[in-house]
Amino acid sequence: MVNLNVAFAHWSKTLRISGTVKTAKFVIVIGSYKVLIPKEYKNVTSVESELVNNSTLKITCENVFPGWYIWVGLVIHNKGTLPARVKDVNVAIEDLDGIGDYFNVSNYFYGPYSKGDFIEVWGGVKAEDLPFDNWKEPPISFDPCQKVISWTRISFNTDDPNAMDKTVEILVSIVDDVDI
Amino acid sequence: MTAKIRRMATLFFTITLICLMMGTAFALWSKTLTIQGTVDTGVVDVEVISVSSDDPPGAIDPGKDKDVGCTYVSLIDSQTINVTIVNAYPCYYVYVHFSVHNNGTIPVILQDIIVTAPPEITVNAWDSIGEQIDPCENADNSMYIHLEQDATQNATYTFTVQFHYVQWNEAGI
Repeated sequence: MVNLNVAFAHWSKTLRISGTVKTAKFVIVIGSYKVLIPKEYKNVTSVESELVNNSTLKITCENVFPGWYIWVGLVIHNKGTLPARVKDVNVAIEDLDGIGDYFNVSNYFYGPYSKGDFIEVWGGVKAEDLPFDNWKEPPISFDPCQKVISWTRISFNTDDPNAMDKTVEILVSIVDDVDI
Repeated sequence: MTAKIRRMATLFFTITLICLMMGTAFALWSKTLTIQGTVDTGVVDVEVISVSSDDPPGAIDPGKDKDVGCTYVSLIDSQTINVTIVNAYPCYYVYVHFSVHNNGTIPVILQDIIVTAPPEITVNAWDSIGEQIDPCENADNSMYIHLEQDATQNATYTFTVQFHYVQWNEAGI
């Protein structure tokens, strides 16, 4: 046994590597929003809005009529730790009266903005001011803490005489992706 | 009478002489040589002398076009490296390079590499098994760390890698 132990003994040394991996966060939220109604419609139609979740806004519109339109503005905030891109803003019309096909949607994107400089396309804006000329085609890349502004024009156009005085629910949501 | 005494004297001297001669024949002079032995055993000792990563803070992520994640590396002591990857995302990968110095007096061979990591992390410690480092010599090793698709956000994963060196003539036992 002594001989066996000698035969199998060997000196050794072990080097160790200890590692920690902390993963990133991908969080894109609606930091703020606005729904603008042309001033000539303010006594005719009413609009209520609320956030359904961090990335979806629900707008309830009453007395929708041909020629009606609103502008929906979103401050899209990258609150994660990864670069992201805004690919689109999706508008879903809850079509209770079969009038969904009469809505037209146009998106305009601005940015990215690093600090409060987005005020140029956000602060004190009226429906009549939009869209601003410096809009960009998506996708728009933005880094953590940056913001992208979207303005979405939702209009209702039809010759259907029955499409009057309708109430609709509109869901506006961000379409985003990691930009790596 | 005188002759008798002379013969007796002669006999005495003869016997004495014979005895002296016999005594000389049996005498032995001797000398002992002594060998003193000392065995000074050698030392198996390796240490990490440098470590670096492909993605230090402020560098573009390997294989990407942005600086998103980064990898900090440091020596805790001469036997232990600490690797910390922050803000990692699926498909993030990094190479960690380190140099090992044979600080002992016996050649060593890297016998095996033991990786302990969760399934969300792949660690390939590179194919340096069997590499010999002679005393006072260095060897470079690399390690590849990759975050898999099923990693979750805002999480912390840990892993360990052990490089086991043995004296060169016992490797494989």
